[in-house]
Amino acid sequence: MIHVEGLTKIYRVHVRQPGFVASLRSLFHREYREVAAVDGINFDIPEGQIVGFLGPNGAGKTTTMKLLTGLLHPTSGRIEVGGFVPFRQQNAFKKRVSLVMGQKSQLIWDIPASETFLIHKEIYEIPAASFKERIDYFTEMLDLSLIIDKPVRQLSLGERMKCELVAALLHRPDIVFLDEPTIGLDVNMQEALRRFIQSYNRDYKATILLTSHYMADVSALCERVLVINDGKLIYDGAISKLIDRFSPMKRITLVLGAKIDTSVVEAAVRNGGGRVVAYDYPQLEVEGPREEVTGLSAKLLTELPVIDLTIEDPSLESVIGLAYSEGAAGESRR
Amino acid sequence: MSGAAAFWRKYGVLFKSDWAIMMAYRSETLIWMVGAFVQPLVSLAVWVSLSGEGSIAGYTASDYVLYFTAVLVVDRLTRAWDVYELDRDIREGTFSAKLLRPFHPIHWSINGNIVYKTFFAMLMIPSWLLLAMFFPAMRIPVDMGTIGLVILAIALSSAIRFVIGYQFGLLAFWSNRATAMYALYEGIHMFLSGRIAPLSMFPDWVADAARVLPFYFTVAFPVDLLTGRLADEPETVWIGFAGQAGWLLLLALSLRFIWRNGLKRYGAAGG
Repeated sequence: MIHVEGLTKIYRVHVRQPGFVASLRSLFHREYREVAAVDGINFDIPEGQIVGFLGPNGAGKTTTMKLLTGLLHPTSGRIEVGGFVPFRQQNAFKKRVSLVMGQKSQLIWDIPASETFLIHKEIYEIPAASFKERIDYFTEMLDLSLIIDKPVRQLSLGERMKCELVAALLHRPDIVFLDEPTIGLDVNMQEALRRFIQSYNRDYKATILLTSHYMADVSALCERVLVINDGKLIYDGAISKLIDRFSPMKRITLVLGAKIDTSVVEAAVRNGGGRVVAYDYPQLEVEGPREEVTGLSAKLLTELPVIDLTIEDPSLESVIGLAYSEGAAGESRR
Repeated sequence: MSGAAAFWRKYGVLFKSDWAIMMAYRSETLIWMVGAFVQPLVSLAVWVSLSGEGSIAGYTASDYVLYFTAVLVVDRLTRAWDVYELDRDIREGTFSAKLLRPFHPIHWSINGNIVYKTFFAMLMIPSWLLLAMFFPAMRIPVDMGTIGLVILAIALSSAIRFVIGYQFGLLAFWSNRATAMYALYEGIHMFLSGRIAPLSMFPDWVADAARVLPFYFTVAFPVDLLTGRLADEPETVWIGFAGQAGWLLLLALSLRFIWRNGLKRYGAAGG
């Protein structure tokens, strides 16, 4: 469904020096630097797959998404999406794809989202009966009935994001690019959107490429991930292997109810197979191997006066950082 | 649904939504409209006081009243402002949302022009008719046939000014000075289109240049038609329409060229 070969995008960036004198000088002599935002990447995504697209900020994720949707012209390489060359901007192509950017809105700000939906109905030439059926489907799935007729500027971020998804999926694209769809949303809202994305994929066999900084999004939705860093693809494979390999530790954060001696705390943690990262009463941070974390927490709960305990995966950023710093490039690339 | 019907339905739904947005901001729209009256009214005051009892360049005080009323209306109904929106959309990357939809972004802008100009016409034309009842100088000395030609000339001028403005906006694909360049163009336009004074006030070579370039056709030509200046010159009328059509065609071709090349440079800024 998506085929990418040797894809490269080079930006020519005007180098600006700070300061007034430098700005005057740049009037006469401009310096340019070439930056490869995407640097020779290859991958294929079959129909109906949800793939997570990961990488630190500025790694080239969004640029790749923009190349795949035809917003940008590639400097070199081949892209085929659903049998189309995206940058030719054919309407038949645009009717099959969609791009949702968490930080950019395609809803019209001053009028209710339902009006944007009506515009999409005409622009995508959706028959009236299907339009109604789809709006009903979305309204039920996303609980929209109370927000659809409010001006978009009065919606909360989460409500707006739901409407963004509807606007993007109303024409029922079979290829969907989601760029940070859950950014800035609370946990419940993230969960709701995740469930929705999952059922859209299941109901319509949609091929989905998703970027997110939230580990939970990626692990709930994607079996396969692509990791990109500095414009290069450094990992393409199962998510379970990525986490196991690059982040064997989990972090436990505890709040203690009474002040306990450091040595006692350290002994308890050591007994459970963990390590104290920081102890500053009442907060205690412990790190332990993924497979022993349940036993370790149980031990800490019995041996220490614990008020609160949370177990977290390391942030996706840090997993990717680890993947990159451990030189995963060579061994993981297919 | 046939292709043409589907196309017009798209315009229909865009018109409704743009109209709703404009109504949400109706007081701003009004202030904006009235703000554009200042320059022609100041010019009017200057020329009326200078001409006194006599005439300058073939215009008496009463002629100036009619001339600048016509300038005010024609300019308001033909002026395009797309450069500002387009420049911002391209530089900040908000253009992407329009580019992703299977309907050329230019249609959104054309529709916006139709909406606002319809609104302006609905306010300005009745106001003019009302004022003309009290001020004889504002009465239009032409027949209905000429009014039809004026409407056509205004429509063509509106299209020309839109296509010029849109191309200046597309310069944002290459430069972040698109609006500055447009401001320079507008400055020249103010003089050469007859907005600041009738072209007969200028040296012959300036007036001639304005008649060859698109300037005369955008404001002065519809104004001359409307104020009856071309009543005995059917030839000039046809030359005027031919000039409008010719420039529109040329500009449409260059728009196509700039669009295709600009799109390759689009950076779709922002995440």
